[in-house]
Amino acid sequence: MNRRHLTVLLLAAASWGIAGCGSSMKATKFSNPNFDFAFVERVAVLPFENLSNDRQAGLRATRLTITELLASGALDVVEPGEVQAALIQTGTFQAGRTPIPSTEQIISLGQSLDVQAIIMGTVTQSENLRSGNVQIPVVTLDLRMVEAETGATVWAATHSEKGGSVSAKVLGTGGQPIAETTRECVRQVLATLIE
Amino acid sequence: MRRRSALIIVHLLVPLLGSLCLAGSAGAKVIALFPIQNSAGDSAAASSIDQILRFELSKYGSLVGPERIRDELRRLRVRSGDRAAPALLRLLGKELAADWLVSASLHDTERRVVPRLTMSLRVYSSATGELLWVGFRGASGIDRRKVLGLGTIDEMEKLIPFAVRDLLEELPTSAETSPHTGTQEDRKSSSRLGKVAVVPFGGSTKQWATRNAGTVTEAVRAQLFRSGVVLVSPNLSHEILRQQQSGRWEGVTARTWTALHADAGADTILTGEVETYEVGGSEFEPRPRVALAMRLLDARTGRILWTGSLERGGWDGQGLLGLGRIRSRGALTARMTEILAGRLERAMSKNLRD
Repeated sequence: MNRRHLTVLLLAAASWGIAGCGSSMKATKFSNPNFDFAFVERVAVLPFENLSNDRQAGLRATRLTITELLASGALDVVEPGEVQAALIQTGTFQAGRTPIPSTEQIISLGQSLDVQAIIMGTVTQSENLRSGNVQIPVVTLDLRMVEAETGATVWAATHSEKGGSVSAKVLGTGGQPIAETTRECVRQVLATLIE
Repeated sequence: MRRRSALIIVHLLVPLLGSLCLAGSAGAKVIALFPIQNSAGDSAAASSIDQILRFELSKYGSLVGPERIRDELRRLRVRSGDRAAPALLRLLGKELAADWLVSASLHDTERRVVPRLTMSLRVYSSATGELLWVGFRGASGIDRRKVLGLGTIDEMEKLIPFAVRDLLEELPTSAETSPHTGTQEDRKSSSRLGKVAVVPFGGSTKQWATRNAGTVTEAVRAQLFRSGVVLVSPNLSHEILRQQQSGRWEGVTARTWTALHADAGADTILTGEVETYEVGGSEFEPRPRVALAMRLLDARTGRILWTGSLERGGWDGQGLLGLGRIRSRGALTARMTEILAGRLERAMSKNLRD
């Protein structure tokens, strides 16, 4: 009886371990040691580039980044409508394309939006991976912050997040919505900025 | 012979007197119902809604003839009541001698095994040219299904009367006083959001992005109204957006929030995005899915005060035997906007960002 219990416990521990192996790695981060982040009070978040097949991924990640930045209370974020108007004004906006501004355009955007920094990002992966009967959402996000005065990158981070609880992975009870995984991914990336 | 004639006269007069009394009891309103705004492209359903609405609204007062309304709209070059500036609506109301100007929209229809539709209604005062009441309703043919499939509605034309009646259920006999929230003045003091301007949501759904965004915008407007929030009239905010953003509706620019505050008296601005607005499941058991995000801005500074988002399926949170399932996108949107509006009110009461 005791041996059977031990077997069950070992199996559970092994499953837990397997599930743990699949969980997310720590975010990779760069930050300019010479830049004073306390100087940044207000930022603009440009619409993220989307390299995944999930049509909504860019918009979703942009929106969640704004929400998480606001929720942190550390920074003020410019209203996205005002960002879009400034993108049009500076000639950075092209319908159906993600804006990738030049250094001059970044400086111009910074001035017109009255921000100290601009956050840009790319969603490189946003999909539901199949593992047996369970769908596990995976989201990979690259974010960078550029100084509005110079256009220089002062912070960058990348993170890959696998969704779904351990029980979902082991017992096949179903994964979480991809929006939740994106949110967790955004949180992990921003945690390297707002420490 | 005389007795028979008297009976005939009585039979003819009673319904007439009855309808007159009903109109009189409702404050003898004169109502002008604009042609239905048919975003669904379903002319038969729009025509059916028009007829049912006419019948139901006749309980509130007398209706202006549709030909006369069409002539006046054409003469004053008004395409939609929701897009006519308040001054133009006042003029229209005066020309039609109407007290209420009613604008209805058919947002979407799905003629499937289980028919589904989404519609909304706005009542404008001809005295002010501004919004008096707004309602939103999503319905499916199996919303009223009972044991052994009793109560199932399998045709759009049979579903429409139920949807219209449900929609008008909350329309007070006198729109100046809402049954839920008292007078407009009471509302101002009861809501922590102040006067809210709802700016049309942006849409990024796979299909019909703008149409779906318009539907959700109406749902949000109706929900805020139900919650007792004072709203900037949609025709007024449309006019300001047209002037300041020249036809670009998504997001809010500095010029827009300044104008909404200065010209429309808005304290806050609510806008957002619709990311998912679809129906899955089977033909017999539709499973809608909606994902939407909202943000509230300070109309004085343009600062984001609150953001919130929700992704939900119609079967989420269902009870035993599928009880509590939501089968139409409209009904799911209404439920989600209710949840988000609740979160917004709570967050604002704590003065925190959600």
